[in-house]
Amino acid sequence: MDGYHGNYKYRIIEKIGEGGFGFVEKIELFNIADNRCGEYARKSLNDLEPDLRDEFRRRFAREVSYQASCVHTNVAHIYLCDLKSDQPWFIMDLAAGDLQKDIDKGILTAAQKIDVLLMVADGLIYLHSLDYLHRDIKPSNILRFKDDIYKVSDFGLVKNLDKSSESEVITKIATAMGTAKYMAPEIGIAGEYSKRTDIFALGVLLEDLDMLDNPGIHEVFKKSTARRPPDRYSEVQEMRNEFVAAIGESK
Amino acid sequence: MIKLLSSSAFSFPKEPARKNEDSILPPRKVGSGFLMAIADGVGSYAGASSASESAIEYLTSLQSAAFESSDAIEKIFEQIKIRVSNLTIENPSYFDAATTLTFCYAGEKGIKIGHIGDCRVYLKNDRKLLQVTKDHTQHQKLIDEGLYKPSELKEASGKNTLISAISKKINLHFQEAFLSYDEICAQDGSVSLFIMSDGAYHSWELRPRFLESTLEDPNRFAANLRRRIIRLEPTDDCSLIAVKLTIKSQLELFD
Repeated sequence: MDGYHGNYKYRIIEKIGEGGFGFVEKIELFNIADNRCGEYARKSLNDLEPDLRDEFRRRFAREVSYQASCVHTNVAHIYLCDLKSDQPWFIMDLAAGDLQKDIDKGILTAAQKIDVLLMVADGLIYLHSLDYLHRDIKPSNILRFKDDIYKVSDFGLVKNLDKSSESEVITKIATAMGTAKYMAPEIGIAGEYSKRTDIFALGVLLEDLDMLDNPGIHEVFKKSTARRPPDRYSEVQEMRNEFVAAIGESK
Repeated sequence: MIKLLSSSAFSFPKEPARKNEDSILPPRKVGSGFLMAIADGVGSYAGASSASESAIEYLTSLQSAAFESSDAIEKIFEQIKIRVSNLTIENPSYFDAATTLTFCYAGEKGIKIGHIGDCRVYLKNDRKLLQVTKDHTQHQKLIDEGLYKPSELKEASGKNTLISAISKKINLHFQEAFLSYDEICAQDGSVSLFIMSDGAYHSWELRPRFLESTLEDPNRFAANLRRRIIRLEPTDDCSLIAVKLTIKSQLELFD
């Protein structure tokens, strides 16, 4: 065994991903009675330089606590975590793939694309209902699991709208956060995030999925990615409804 | 030759028992000119008052030559940023420490202004105060870029959210301005200048009017604004520097 945590132990199988500040491994999880629970993914934070260490540990802890508080079919769930060790980690379901790779391979059918968008929208509606903003919606953060269920993942940039403690300067630094292609203009200009910036990113996803040939969906795209935030949908539900209507019309 | 005719200043915390995180530099003779400034430590982060104090301390150490070169303002901000960043050496919990800073140097030919954050410089023009600096706040920027109309942001949060400040982690975005005396002096050769922190102009903005005689006199202006702030209860630490300068020589004043 490579590690213990509470009533569980795990064996590391292989490294399956790496980023600037951490890495992801495929692991095998067992309970204390040695019953095999299955294969899972473990995300760990590197042991960073002292300068960055505290801040990234705080962010990692925030990521874990927000993601762990979510219980929804279309949000990737966290099962176990250890935030105290030198390399903090958490364990979540092992994904079969991600949307970016599926788009690159060009394997998605028209019907699957519609399902993907609805699943991401549902995950996002749920997050917004908890007053969370995801702030980094993009295909590589949407994971595919068993039975082609897609889930929103990577809570590294999640913001809790409810918390006044995340104040000015953090917001200011946030201008550099996220991924340019999915960033609404007000983020780059003034670091302003809202439900409408998540809606913008979801709109860009329609383009990624190559769905704009449908005139109804194109209208949804235009409205969700409008330059001025007040011209966009104010709620994901509203966007979802119009998207569903657009599909209905085209049938 | 620039002369100081009158000046008045105040700086006090939101509540008497609380620490005042604003720091001010009332008009100070530097070379042949006058230097004045307000720094507003960005609250909710440890080291806010140390950050604003270190900005003012650095300004206090400067000689007039420091304001003469064309990149003077930039150099001053860079030096202050180094000092604010170094606060972590003295106390590691100060890594987020940040301050705004707005300063005016009234030199031979005009007034040089350096500005980061949301303090404001106003100039008296006729019977009104004109705002010279632009707030580095989220709302102001979003409105400037045409992403929102002012009415669309009236109820929204972020009015006080800064998009620029002096801090270890933030790139310097500053505004600089030069106001030539030829353009700004009243007929009698006087210039009335006001620097306010957000706590102070919050009350001013609600009804941006005083009697002409009050606007004319920095002491009366300060007393009246202070009274108004206290009556409405301060929303933040409040600082004001009001000065009246003249470019006429003493003798001419008696003409």
